[in-house]
Order: sequence, then C-alpha cells, then structure tokens
Amino acid sequence: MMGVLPLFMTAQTTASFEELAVSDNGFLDGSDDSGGFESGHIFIPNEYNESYNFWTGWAISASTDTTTPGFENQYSSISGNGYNSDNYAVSFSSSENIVNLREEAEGNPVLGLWVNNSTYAYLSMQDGDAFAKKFGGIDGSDPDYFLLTIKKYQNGALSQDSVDFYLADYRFAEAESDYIINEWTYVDLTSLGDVDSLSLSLSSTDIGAFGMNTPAYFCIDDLTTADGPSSTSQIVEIQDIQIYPNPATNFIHLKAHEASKGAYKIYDLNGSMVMNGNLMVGKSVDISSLNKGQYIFQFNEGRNMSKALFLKL
Amino acid sequence: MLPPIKHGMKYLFLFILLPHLILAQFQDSMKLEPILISGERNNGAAHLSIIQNEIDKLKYLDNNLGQVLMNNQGLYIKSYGPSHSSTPSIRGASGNQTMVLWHGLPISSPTLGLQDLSLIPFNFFTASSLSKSTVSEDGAEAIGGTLDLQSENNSRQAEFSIGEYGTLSGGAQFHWKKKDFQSNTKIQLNQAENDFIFEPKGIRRPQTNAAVKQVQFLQAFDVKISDKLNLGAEYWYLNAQREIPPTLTQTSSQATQDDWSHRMVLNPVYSGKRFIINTRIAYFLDEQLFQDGSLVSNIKSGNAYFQTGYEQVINKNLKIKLLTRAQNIQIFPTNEALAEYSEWRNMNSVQLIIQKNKTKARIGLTKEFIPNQKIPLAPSFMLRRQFGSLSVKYLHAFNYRIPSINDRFWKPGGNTELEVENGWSQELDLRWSSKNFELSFIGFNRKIDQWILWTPSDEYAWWVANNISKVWSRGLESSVKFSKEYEKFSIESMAAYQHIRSTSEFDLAVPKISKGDQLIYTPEHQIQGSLQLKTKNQSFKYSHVYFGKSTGINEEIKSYHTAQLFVNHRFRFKQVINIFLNINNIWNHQYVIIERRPMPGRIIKLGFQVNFN
Repeated sequence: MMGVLPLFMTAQTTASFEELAVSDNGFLDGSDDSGGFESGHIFIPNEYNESYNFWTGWAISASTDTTTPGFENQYSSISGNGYNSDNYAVSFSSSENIVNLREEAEGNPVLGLWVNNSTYAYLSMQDGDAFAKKFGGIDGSDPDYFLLTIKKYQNGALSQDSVDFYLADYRFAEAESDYIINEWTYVDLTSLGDVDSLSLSLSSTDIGAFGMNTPAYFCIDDLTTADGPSSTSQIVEIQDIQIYPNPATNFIHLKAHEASKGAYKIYDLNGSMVMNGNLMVGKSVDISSLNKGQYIFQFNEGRNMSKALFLKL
Repeated sequence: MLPPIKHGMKYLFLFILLPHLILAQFQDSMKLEPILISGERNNGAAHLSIIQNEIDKLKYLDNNLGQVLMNNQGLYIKSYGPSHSSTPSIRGASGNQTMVLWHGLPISSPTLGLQDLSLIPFNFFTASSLSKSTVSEDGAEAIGGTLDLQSENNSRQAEFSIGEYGTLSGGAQFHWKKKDFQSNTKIQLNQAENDFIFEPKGIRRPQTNAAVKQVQFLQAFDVKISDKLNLGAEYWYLNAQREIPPTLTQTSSQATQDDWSHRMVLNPVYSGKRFIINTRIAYFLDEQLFQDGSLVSNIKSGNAYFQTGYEQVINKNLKIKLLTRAQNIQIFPTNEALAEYSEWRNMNSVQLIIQKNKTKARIGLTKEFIPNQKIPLAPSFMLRRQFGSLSVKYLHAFNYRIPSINDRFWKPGGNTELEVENGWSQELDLRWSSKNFELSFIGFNRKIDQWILWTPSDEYAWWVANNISKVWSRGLESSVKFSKEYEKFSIESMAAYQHIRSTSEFDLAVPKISKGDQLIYTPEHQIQGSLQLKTKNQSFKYSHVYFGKSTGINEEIKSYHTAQLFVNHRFRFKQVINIFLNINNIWNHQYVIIERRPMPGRIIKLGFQVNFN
C-alpha cells in the first residue's frame, strides 16, 4: 500500500475528463480520428482502426452499466460512474498504455490518480467467463491477482521504479481478505518524482499460452499533476511519516523520523471526514469503529501536511 | 439413393452380402458378418469403414459421429461436452484440416473451415468411412484426413432410447421401392439435459446450462430413368439448439448456440459401356446463432456446387478419372465482424489408376483456382501390392488447406495476405490378415508449412491470423484383431495403439511453444481395445479407450480413459426387436478433453429398435 510522501505546495491541475462531450451513458472511442483525448494537462492517446472498427489505448466513457458481463460492456467502470463525476477514462491495451504530460505539468511530479476496475474485468474475475478464470479458482484458494504497474518516462527512458496497485488480490491466507476493487481508489504517484509521461501496464496470474486471459481493461479519473512552483507559493518539505500496520484492523500508529505532534484527520474516499483529533508521533489511533475500506490519513503539523492511504480490514 | 458404380468394390460387396444378412436373421445361428469392408474411394486411398458390424450399428444408433469416432475408432475428438462442439484431430492435425464429405462434396463451414461432428447423426450415415491419409483428390481440406459420409438406404426401422440426465433419443427410417423408383426417409430426434454431477477438486457440482435438442431429417429419392441414366436427389435438414455450459472456472453461463442447415443435392449419373459421368449439383445453407448475454453472433453462409466426374476404363489395367468442381461461397451480411462476401472456386483433378494382377498404382494431380490465392499443384502417388496375406501400401502426397473465410476476413484480425497451409506426407501401411487374425502397422510422416494461428498482435490490441508455424507429425498406428465363430457363439476382439508426435518446428512466443514441443490438445499415446461376444439372440460388447496426457492453453490435460458396455437381446417376431442396455463411461471416470470443460461420468441408457425389413 502507499506510504506517506512529501507533498509539494504547488499549483495543481486535475484531469477530470468532464470537459469532453460525452453523451449520457455514452462513450468516445476515437472513431472521429481524434487520436486521443486532452484533459487538464495530460493527453491520453487513442488508436482507432477504421477497417476493423476497433480501438486501443484510451477511451472516454460515461457508461453506467455495472451488471452486463462480457466484451459488449467494455466501456463501463464497475461503479457505473467516474470519481464523483460522470466521465472517466477507460484503458485497453495488450502492453503498456501511456499518459502524456503537457504544458506546465511536463517534467513535474504526478500527484496521483483515482483507479477502478472496468465492469468487464471485474465480472470476469468475479465469475469467470469462457476465456478467463474466476479468481480463486474452483475452491477459492488460488492465489490470483490483477496488478496495475505504473512507471514513468523521463528524458525518453523508462524508469524501473514503479508504483504497484492491485486491482484484485486473492493471495491472502484468509479468503475473507480477498478482494476485487469495485470503487474508485486513490493511487499516490508522488514517489515517482518528476515525470514526462506515465506508463501503465497490467499483469495477471491468469495467463496461458496466448498471454493474459483477464480482460486488459481498467479505468482512471481525476489525475492530478503538479504544474511547477507558483510565483506566490512556497515549497515546504514535509518530514516523512509512516502509517503502520497497513492494512489495519483496530489501531494505526504514526511513525516519523522526528518526534512531533499535530492534528490528524481521516477521510473516506468520497472526501468526507470520518474522524479527527490530535496525535503525537508514536501514538496510535483507534480505527475499530470505521467500516472496512480505504481511507486517507492526513497529518498537519504547523505548515506541514502529509497524507497516507491505508486499508481498514 | 443407389451408390454410383465408381465406388466399385465396396458397394458390389455390400449387395452380395446384404440379402444374406437379412436372411440370416431368421436362421438358427447368426453369423457375424461385416457390413462393409475397406474399399477404394474415388481418390484411390484405402478407407476404413467407421463401424464393422451390426452390433456397432445398434450400439451407436443414438450417437453422433464424433462419439462413434472416439469410442469405436479411438480417434482423438476435441469435445466440449456431450453433444457439444466436437472436431477431429487426425494424426495431430486440427479440426479445420479434416474434410467432411457428403456426396463427395465438402460440408465443412466455409467461415470456420471445419465441421462440428456432434451435428452429424451416425444413424443416418452408418456406411461412413474414415481416411487418415492426405490425398489431393479429396480437395483442399484433406490435409488432415477425410470423413466420407455414406448412407445405407434400405432400412425400415424405428428406435427409441432413454437414459440418465434427461437423455432421450428417437428415430425412424423408411425405405420404399417401386419398380425404378426408390425413396428413403430418415428422421432423428435427440435431446438431453446433461445436468450430470462432476467433482473438480472434490467439490460436487451439477452441470448447468447444458441442455441440447437436435432434429434431423433426411429424404432421398432415386429414379432409374433409363438403363444408362439414373437420377438421385437428397435433402438433409438439421436444427440443433444447445445451451453452452460454464467452464470449471466460471460461476454460470447463459450462452446458447443454435445451428440450422439445409443441404440439397441432385445427382444424375450416366453410365456408358466403359465410362461413367457422375454429376452433382448441390446447395448447402448453414446458419449459426451464438448468444451470450448482450453478445450476439449470427453467421450465415451458402455453398453452391457443380461437380462432374468422368471415369473411363481404358483397358483392363488402366482407368482414368477426371473431376471438375465449381463452387460459389456466399457469406450473408448477418454479422458486423464478417461483411457480405462471395467467392468462386474451381478445382480440377486427374487420376490414373493402373492395376495389374495384385499391384495397384494411382497417380493423381489436383489444381485449384481461387481469386487472389496462390494455390500450388498437388500431386499424389499411391502404390499397393498384395503378397499373399500381406498387403503393402505406400502413399506419397502433397496437399494444402485454404485459409477459411474467418481467417481472411474477420474483423478485426482477418488477414487477406495469408498463404495456404501446405506440405508433403508419406504413409506406409502394412496389413496381414488370415481367417481369424488381422494385424496392421501404419507409419506416417507429414510436414505442414505456413500453419495458420491466431495470436495477439504486437501492433494492435487484438488477435490476428498469420502463417507463423510449421508442424511435423509422425507416428505409428498399430492394431490387432481377432474373430472366430464357434458353434453357439462368436467372438471378436481388438487392440490398437497409436503413437503420435506432432510438434512445432519453430520457437514461438505467442502461443508459448518451443521447437519440438507437442502441439496443444494432441496426446502422444492412444490405446483402444474391445471384446465382443455374440450368440443367436444376445450380444455383448465391452470397449475401452485411453488417451495420454496433453497440454491445453492454460493448463495440462491429464490422461483419461473411458469404457463402454453394450448388452443386447434380440426378439424375433414378425419383426425383429432389439432391446439394449448401453453404459457409457462405466467406471465413472472424471475427465476433461478440452480444459475446464467437464465430461460426464457414467451414463446408463435403455433402448429398443424395431426392424421392419
């Protein structure tokens, strides 16, 4: 899971795809020869083959179908919407897919993005289909996973640093912990540092002689880029802090290089604050009353602010 | 329909034997006589009839051709389940490399390039034969062998069987003849729920969404217009409705597939003093509708044929055969992935057949023309000699397979630049037979170049068809048969072993296969055995097949074996009534042929047949 990383107080731009004209429950598949889509300070490429009426790369969707299985429902996210919005981007690629940073964002960090499973991939992993296996296998014990790996290109070279996000994970000893992501989840990318473009690729345990069987789809929304330092803002370096254990059941502890105390707030993924209080580093926070799911832990100490993502079991 | 004379020895033997067989039913002791013996088809390759006796006709009367080939011939059939899609793998070839002929015309789907054997009721075509050799005169698809559907059209019978898992089957055949006119009518109805229990990893699960229903009808007319001219006409209708069950790693399935076929053929035959002109005018209309939730795929195709064969006896040692066929394939615009399309094809072949004493040789040459396709000349050579009880045959042939319509035009991924699959094959066939024994050894060798595979594209995110592989198939097929008649009973037994190495000649990344690796779904070892006992009114047959392990796309397929038990009692009244018990997979073995597609365990069926002949 994500650790806590420094957050730069800079201008930020969020690519939400809302400015793109998508009809209700519709999609943009690149058939207009647009070659891709621009939102915020990113450009996501699309390749459309007119001979075959087939697309690869990215599509933009407002599809709300969360129940129809199969390829015919390739444009929907499993939550039937974007992150607190209508529009979102859908990725389909047999290898890597690219997010290009433009204008002020190019060469600067990408703060993060929201990720979700497509309905097609989600139902395929949950129930299996004619080509791909139901995750967990016949008796639920197969240690399957569906992994999104995010790397960066900088100065034309692909770095080996990566941020891994499990779109599904069945490797837990207790079957109750197995999950397939079915809601928008924030992925922090600040650890990648400065970025020219992002490389996103999928891998799965369900592979055969012809490669990956799990449908190669996922969805993204609200990708936030740092746009370089603002003339009026001041960059404040934040001390590293860590949340442990992660995932956690009843308590989380705050760990930092230096002893400090401050105020904490815990948000759910909808942005609602569910808990707050004062905290000294090294002490713990009782989270047993929280529902299972992912939360954002924010710690403020003076001008310093840091965030961490944790999973409540 | 009367069989044309060009089929030679096979049918001459039948007409001699058949009256005796009918008469034998009313004799005190029933002699076990083969219905049909191996003979020569028009291409000169020796074919073996798929069944060899009356017991098998009864045993398999509610089976489809795929089931008969697997259980009676030990042929590896890739089956997705009982009465579900079944295609043959002959000596390591794929299903679309095997030609299935009806009236000498290919009935394989032009879009897929293959024929689903579960849609062919064996009871309609009990005289069918199988050739594992590849011979150019069979046409393009015979690179992996040929199945020739042949009917016995002189029965008056009705049959019915009922079995576990909602298995019901009924059929009737009626033959009527007056002077120079004959009519043969056949109808077959099969249905099954197939809700059998299987136990993957010890978890008992009932099969769901697996019901099948099939209706088949065949009507044949034959008119002797004059001493020289005979006119036949035949119509074959099929409708199959199948639910597609979930795989072992799938929670449920709503998929269904419906198939319809209308096949019509007109067959005038003109016989001169030393020649025959055999013409076939045919139209086959096939439609398939696949549905799975919102996914709907409807494919409809038409095949029109005009084929004329000329056979001339030059002298007592020499015969020549000429064949020309014009074919029009039509794809109807019912599927977005396959545009409306029409294609003309022309195939021409010539054969010289030389026979002197106990030596027979055949030299053949075939040339086919298709727009935008480079199709090579396909020569073949066969030499057979009888040395007393020993028969030796050598076959050397070049053959090819034209890429299917889907291979070339499917959107996305079809590749109009595909070349034909092609290659040379050799076969050495040794058979020794005595009164009670028959021993055979067949060694074969075949290389197929430009093998077409659909693989994920490097450039696009979909799959494309390419000529990316080369396959080398070789092996040994051996069998021993014993038969003997005693005073009160007769016995027949058979044991056979096939060793097949069918390997990729290239290292491929996708599919992941290394040079020298056995192809997927190609067991290296196949064993088959049977024991048959027959008295005047009872018959008993036990048969057992074993297929060695193979690899699937995602996992290894374990070796498996299945056994069948058939017991019959015959009552002789005004009609002959057979009451039988048929147990499939008697040892209730759990197995799959295609990965993640479970096959049923033990199935018990009871049935009867009334013969009005």
